[in-house]
Amino acid sequence: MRPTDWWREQVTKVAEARRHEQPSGRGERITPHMVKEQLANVDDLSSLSLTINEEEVHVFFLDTMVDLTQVYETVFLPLQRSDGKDPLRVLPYAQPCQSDDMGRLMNNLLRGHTILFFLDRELILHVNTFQVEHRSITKSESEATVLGPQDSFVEMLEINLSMLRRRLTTPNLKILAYTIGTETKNRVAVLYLENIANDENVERVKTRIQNVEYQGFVGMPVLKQMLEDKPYSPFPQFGLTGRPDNVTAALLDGRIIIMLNGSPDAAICPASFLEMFSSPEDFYNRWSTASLLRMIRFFGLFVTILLTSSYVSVLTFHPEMLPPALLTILSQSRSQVPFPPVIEVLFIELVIEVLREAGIRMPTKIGQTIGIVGGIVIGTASVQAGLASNILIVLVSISALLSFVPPNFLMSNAIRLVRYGFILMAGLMGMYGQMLMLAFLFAHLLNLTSLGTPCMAPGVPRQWTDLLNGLVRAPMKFIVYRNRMSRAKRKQTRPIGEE
Amino acid sequence: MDRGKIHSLRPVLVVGLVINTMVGVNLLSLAHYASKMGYNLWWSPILMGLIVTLTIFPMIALCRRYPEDTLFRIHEKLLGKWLGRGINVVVIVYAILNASTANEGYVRLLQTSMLNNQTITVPLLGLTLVMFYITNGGIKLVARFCLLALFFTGWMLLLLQYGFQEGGITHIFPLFNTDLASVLDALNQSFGSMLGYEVLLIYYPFIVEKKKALKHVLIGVWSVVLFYVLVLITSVAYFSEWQMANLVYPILNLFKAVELSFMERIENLGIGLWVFLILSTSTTYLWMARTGIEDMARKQRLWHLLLPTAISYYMIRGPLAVEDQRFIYDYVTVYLGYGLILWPIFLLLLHALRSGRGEGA
Amino acid sequence: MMRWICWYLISTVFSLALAGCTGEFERPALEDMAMIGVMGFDYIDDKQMNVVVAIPVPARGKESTQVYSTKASMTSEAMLKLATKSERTMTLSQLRVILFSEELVRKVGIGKVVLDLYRNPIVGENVFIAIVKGKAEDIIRGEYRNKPEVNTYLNDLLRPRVETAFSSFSTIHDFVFMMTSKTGDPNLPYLIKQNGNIQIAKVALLRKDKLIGFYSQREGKLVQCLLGQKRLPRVKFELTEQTNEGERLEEIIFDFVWSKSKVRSNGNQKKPVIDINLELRGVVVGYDGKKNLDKRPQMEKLVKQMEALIKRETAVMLKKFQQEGVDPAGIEESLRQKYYGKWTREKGLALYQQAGFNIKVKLDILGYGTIK
Repeated sequence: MRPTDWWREQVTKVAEARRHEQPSGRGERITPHMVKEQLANVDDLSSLSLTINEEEVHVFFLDTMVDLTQVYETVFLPLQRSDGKDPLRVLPYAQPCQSDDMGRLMNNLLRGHTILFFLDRELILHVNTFQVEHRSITKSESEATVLGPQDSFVEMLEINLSMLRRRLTTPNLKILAYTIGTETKNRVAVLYLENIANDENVERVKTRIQNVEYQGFVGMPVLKQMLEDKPYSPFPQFGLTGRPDNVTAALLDGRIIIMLNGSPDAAICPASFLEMFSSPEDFYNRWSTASLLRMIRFFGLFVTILLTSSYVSVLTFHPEMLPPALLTILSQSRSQVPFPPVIEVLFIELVIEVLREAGIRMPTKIGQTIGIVGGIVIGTASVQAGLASNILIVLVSISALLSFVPPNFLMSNAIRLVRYGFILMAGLMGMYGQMLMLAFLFAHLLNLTSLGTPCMAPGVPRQWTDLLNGLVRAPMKFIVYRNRMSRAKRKQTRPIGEE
Repeated sequence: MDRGKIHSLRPVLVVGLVINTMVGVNLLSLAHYASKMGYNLWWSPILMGLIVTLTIFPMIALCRRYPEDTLFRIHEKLLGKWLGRGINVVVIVYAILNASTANEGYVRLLQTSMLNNQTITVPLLGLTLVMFYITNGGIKLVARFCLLALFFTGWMLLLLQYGFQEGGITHIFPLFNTDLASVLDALNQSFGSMLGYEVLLIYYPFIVEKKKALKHVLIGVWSVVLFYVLVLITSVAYFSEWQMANLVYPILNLFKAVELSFMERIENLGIGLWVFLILSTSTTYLWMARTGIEDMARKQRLWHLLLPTAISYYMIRGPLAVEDQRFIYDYVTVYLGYGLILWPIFLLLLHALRSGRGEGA
Repeated sequence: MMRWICWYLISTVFSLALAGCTGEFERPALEDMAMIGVMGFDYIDDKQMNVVVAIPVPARGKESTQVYSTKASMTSEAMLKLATKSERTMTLSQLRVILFSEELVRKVGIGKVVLDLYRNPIVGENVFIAIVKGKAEDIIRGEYRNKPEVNTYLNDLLRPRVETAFSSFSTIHDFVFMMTSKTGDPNLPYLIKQNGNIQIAKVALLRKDKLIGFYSQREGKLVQCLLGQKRLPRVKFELTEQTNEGERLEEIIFDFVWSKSKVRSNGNQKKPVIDINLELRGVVVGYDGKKNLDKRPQMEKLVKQMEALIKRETAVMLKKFQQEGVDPAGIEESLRQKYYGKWTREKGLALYQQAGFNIKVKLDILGYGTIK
């Protein structure tokens, strides 16, 4: 049995057990008092007892989730002017609550609805008065491009969805909503284009989301890890993006998008390995430039995992591989270094990693200083002190730079991680160790699946047209077929014959 | 992933599987094995290709009659439970031996060329573990790995030009200056490099397009023949006859001829990358052994894979002396291979007899 | 569950392997290795040789060289003895040049030494072999002013360049190839140390692995052309021109940009005839004469004269080789190509010595500089 299956089984067991424990709060009529009791010690609860048109109305809402003016304008004012008419008619957005479903009532209240108890009429209404301050739409920091749309997702699901709706004016864009997280009650939206996306894939996403059992999700990356096929792999199997244009392109290619309230990212599934190396800008650039950049990124992957480890294996095992000129330079710079090459490389690689980490945590201005201080001072000083050879500093810097080239942040992290494996194997068995590790790495990548479809799909092509949008980006004229990876219902991107 | 009988081998995977199972450790010494033929050895792969093609027809014919059964199931159906199982054990042993042959040959080469003051324990352990990992992914992962290995190693054919520049292509003349005895000797010595396509008998049930399987397998086989001919012609141009007869790993020396401005002695990289070819051969055979045990046990357990892996490891690292191992790998394995590629003819006859006598189908 | 166990096993075994083999990390790294760049072999007696090795010592600023020598009968034995003399681990992985003294090559032969190195997988394929006048030790221990350190110097000197393309630049592979091929005699560059310089003076000719003679640079250029070298070094031609004032010597320095040779035999075992077609293209680099090269008839005349000259020179040279019974130009290969049955060197030489030559030269002058 696969661990994911095992995990799901455990989760269902727990969920069922819990369902039996809580026979839900049904049966009893809810009174304002009960609400107050449940929300004791909740400071931002506003509980008002009003008399409107000689009728006693209990009102509950959370100060932090609503705008008081809005509550006044949309709830109180119409009620006051209603002259005792049926509140359901007066308040067009109001909906009745079941008078015995405490759970749902609480849910609504906590989401920023205003709850109204009309005690005389034995009626409970809730009105959506949710209104909070939120971050405005800004440029994407982590996936910045020069050309193309600049907006990026924010932490509000509604705004994110609206950004997508604006781009896809089609009734085929379906948005399924789920609530997950036992404590946080996160709202999750699953988006797909009904006429393009593969039904089986949609079903898979649905079941996986429904089977997730966890207390709460603070961000999409957490949820993504729980939905992925192989959770133990260091490599991401779903795409993660904060850009609406990326998401739109993915939707049009027949992918399924998962978005979480409170997280400015969207997960794209299924996603292929090569897509982690492509940026939306590839389509904004001319095809020739884009192809060059894509090839550099992919080539960078090999260089970054093999460069510093080659230094180790060449210096330790295969000095014969050095041409005479290089040999002279290298042996000069190595002559004072007291460590074996493995230790030397690990040391410098870790220093770079620490610099990167320190740079991220610091405020931007200090971060830059740290970068310069670290890069120049530590680099130069360690070479002059004879702790590392200057060639190694060059190599490590190149490989560090190249490791940041993939547009996908998780992928670039994963690559940096496997690089240490290569360095250790190179220290153990030289060039053979590196190649063995490479074989292992690619066997692992070939074994990865995304929603059951192999991740290395365009690498080992499922159909030859995938290659046009894989390592290279062919001119738009040639990109006629959707990526086979998404197993789309309609294979062509434009109506030629097929439709 | 695909543990069940899912038809998962698409045409391109079949071609990759055939090519990379055949190309393995034996290519390293191919020019040496066939050196009895002197400068004429370059066309020996074509002869071997013809033999292979002839033996593929009965294989496919047999498989067509049992499209959903591996060779192990066919044995049990045709030969009865106990005799069939006996033969199955031999086939499984053959598969394990082949996996060991590939690993052993490669690890010995590593020890002579790249890691010459180390024991083979650690390199072999690493190789075995990666082999285990890939095989654990099932035939589809093996096939996909084969195809990837083809991309990773195929570019090395371009390096042949360095050897080609040096020498005289005119060495191939006179064209047929050899005698039958040398040809037969060369064929016998080097036929080990053509083995690998017989695993077809096991993975046939997994092929998607069974009707075109013959074509795809033949494409694979003749691509291999083409590769071999290219390598051998380069060897002929680059080496003298004495060198081919006396150098154990001519490919190693061909690699050494390459000199790039930023890197010399490319053989370290080349032999390192060869691990892809070795793994693609040994994993296919290991998968074959595992499928055999599974088909006999009729269920899937991890030890079905662990057992052959461990055996193949201890064959090499265990108490067997190197000479005994060489005898097993060079003779026992190859003769078992000859047996296996001719075996389908016998099975076909048996099938004809049984179905003629039985249902009259 | 199964997958978990797999992962667990793999990670355990890997970590065990890593932990158990920490000793492996302490292999000598680059700076702990003494990389021999040049090896020299000198004659002592028929059994023993004097083996000299040069090792560059890396240091910032000025490079220096360590030289060690010992007496041994085999290369590997010499390595064994030398290893204890150095403070670093000696390795042959960066071996670039092997030098043999003329005496050793003449008296003992170098096959044993070369094959011993050829067997060693650490030694590369592109190691240059050369024969030196006098002792190899003198060359290695020599002082060279304004030259790089001796390892670099010798390697650069022997590296194939157009200017010195009259010898074969035999690498260890080439030499083993030529030594074991049954269609020609090996040749090696012959170095002479003079006035603090090393010069590739002429080409040494060997039979199997023993020195039997020399030939000049000029002959070497033709031999290389016949062997199929595409780019030949410059050659000076002298033409005698009949003019009104009597005979006049014209001098031409010609740069061969591209050359092609076709050597074909007629396959006759009794009376073999070998057709040699030389196609040469080149540029006139220096010219001292009266012809107006811009005028077509005069140009054609020059071409004719040079063709005749090259043809005559080739014929004379081949006749000389034939009479001496040596074949540096690999002419026998053309005979082998038409020979069915078991080919041996003796048959080859016998056929070669009977052979008649039929030489054709075709010359194209592609340019003549900027003066007409």
